[in-house]
Amino acid sequence: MMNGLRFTKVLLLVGSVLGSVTHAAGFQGSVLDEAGEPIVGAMVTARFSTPFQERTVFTNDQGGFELTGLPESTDHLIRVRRIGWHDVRSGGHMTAADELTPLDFTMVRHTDPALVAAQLPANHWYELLLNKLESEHDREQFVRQCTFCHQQGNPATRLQRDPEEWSKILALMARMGAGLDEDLRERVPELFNTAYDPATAVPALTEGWQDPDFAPPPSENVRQAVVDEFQLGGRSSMQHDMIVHPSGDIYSVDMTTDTLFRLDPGVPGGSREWFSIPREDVPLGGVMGLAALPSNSEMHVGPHSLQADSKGAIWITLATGNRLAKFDPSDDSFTIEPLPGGIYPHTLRIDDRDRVWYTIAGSNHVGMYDPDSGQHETIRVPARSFGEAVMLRMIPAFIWLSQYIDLSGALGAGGGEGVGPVPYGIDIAPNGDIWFSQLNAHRIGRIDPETFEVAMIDTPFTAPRRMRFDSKGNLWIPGFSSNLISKFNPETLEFQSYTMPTEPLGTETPYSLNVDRRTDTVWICGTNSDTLISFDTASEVFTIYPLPTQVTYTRDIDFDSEGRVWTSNSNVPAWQIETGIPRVLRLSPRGTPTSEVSGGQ
Amino acid sequence: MRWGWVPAIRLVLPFALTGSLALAMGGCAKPALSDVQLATLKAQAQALADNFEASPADGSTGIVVRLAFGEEADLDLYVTDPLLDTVYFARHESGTGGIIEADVRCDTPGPRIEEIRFPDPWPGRYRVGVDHPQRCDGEQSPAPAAYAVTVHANGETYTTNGIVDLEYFEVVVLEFEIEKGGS
Repeated sequence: MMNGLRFTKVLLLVGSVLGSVTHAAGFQGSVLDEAGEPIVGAMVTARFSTPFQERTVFTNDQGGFELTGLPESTDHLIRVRRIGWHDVRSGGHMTAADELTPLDFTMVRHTDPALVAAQLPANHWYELLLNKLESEHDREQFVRQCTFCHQQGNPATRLQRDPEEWSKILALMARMGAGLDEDLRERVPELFNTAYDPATAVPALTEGWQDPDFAPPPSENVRQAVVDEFQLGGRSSMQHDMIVHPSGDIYSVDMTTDTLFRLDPGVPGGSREWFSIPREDVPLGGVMGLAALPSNSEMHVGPHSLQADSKGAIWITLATGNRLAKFDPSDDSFTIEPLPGGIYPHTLRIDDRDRVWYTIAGSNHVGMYDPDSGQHETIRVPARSFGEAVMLRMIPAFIWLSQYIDLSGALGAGGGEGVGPVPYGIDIAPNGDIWFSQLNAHRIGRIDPETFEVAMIDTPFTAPRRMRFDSKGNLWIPGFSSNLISKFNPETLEFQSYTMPTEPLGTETPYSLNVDRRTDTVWICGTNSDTLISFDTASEVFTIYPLPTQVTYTRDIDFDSEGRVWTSNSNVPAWQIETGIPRVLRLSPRGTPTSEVSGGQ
Repeated sequence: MRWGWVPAIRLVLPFALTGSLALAMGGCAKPALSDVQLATLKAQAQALADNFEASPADGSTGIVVRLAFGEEADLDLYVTDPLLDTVYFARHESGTGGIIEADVRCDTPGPRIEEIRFPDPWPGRYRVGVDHPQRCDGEQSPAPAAYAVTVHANGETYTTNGIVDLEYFEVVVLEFEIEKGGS
């Protein structure tokens, strides 16, 4: 291990100096339509600070709202939003100390259905595409391969283009990993152009848009929730994963700028620090060389996933740097740990002995590193076939050989099945067993933590992605391309699946989930629908929480000790996100937080 | 340009790309370019750069970025503006007003010059990239292609030239700064 690498923080305590937060400071008022009728379920958002924080609440049955816990004597920009109505935006609203400032709004109905269609989350548009795919094989492949970077939520993704332009876009996507079968790829340009033809798309999306039950408000229970969003990073960022540290700070890794961010939500507006992760000698694009980076990328080592160990140190997979990083918050130093084998360390979890377990997506391994002993294990997990196993074992030879001979003519085009099984999610069972998923192989596997023996189990659904255990030892798995979550019992080997409730049905892409083990509530990324979704495991009831920002693409979830739910918006490219800049966000299901800071579970 | 490059990996992962896992799926290894081939390509790139002088862009105002390449390949020009927004064949206009004039493809007659303009450029750093998505002559990978890039920015001119492999994106071939109120 390379010790003692210490890197200076680039900038300390960025965040405006604002007035203190008092629970009483804020706004209260109503949101009515032009006839004076209440608008129920409107999202009222207050933005303050630079970089900004936004706090959003929902209007109640009377159209009333209370935006509390805001910094006093501070200017706020207010936005009111409800599908079917024009956004209301209003600046210069000053909070007063110890009182709620009155604030009323009148919303105006849209008269142009195209503007209503543009307000709908990406999954509504995506349904237009899915409806044109008759084969389940095509549908599954299309979802798994074409939605893992960004949504179809920004109008720029829904342009009609000439077929040659589509063809070039698809080729570029394939080089970024989104391979489709040749036949499907040839049909995609027409698929997009017909699905997104405004002449048919808008009527299909807005049928009955003036009826009261079009885009109904969330339930009264959901309307208690408060959403806080903290701007983090810039327009070239990809805030891939985040965690709630035991200290209460939020850490997020920005994959495309090689940066670790620290957010203190206890400071009004949030204070932000950022730390450049050592690149050492890794070139732009990473150790393996990437043939199609985002054009504004600064990614060398590509931090991807992170977790805190029992001492509070943060471990990070550096996917394109092919190494691990350890960040010590006590002195803000990094230590870099080279890996003995494998390609593309991916998702990382830490066991109760502080051993670091991580999937290695490119070479079909699971890795283990024990910082106490220095032991590394690179565990080969089963391929789908003998041929694939041979291919995977030959990777090091190909890499060595490619120093001397150009092998790029041997490249295959990839395809809908994806190249490689791709070990993906990973979690530690309460009994210490290690479980992981193989995304393209539609399997999960168990690793004995002592002997490293591996056993595989087919999932009865496609694309198991990022999964977690509950307190009782059940493994909860999202099916990214199968629109469901599934509970797996490692004792009986039985699966019980639950279809995602997102409307239109069949359009959700649950990328990840996490289980709040204090209540065994499962929280799921509504990755395609700008939502977070809870699943009560006792009553088996889903609850959908709409999020206020269009194009909120989420990849992981964590909890603070108050049971609040944290995630990050990592749509890439970031410019497709509303406002063009990523955020980390906190959902407080039970209302305005009384304490801004609380540590991870 | 990366001769003898190490292919990356094509996975279902963001930016995990082309490569090694696909190597065993078919095809034969090809020898790397000879010194003569390399010298020829470099000469082609220089000739493309020289030709810019014969057909200068109107760069009297704003920024004009041009990419020249031969008939054997379809290359694509990318310009990232100070907002980190990129103009290229699939994003026709950026938030700062950058516009691509046309996507020059295999069937586009010569001269094969792709052009991106910023009529009223914002101050800050600009990044120019060159991608090589497809051959027009059916040659197989790596099939490197020569290119030249020139930038006219408020009276200043920047040029570079090089060689780029098929299915490889040179993210940064040139970077330049526009100061507030000038170049």
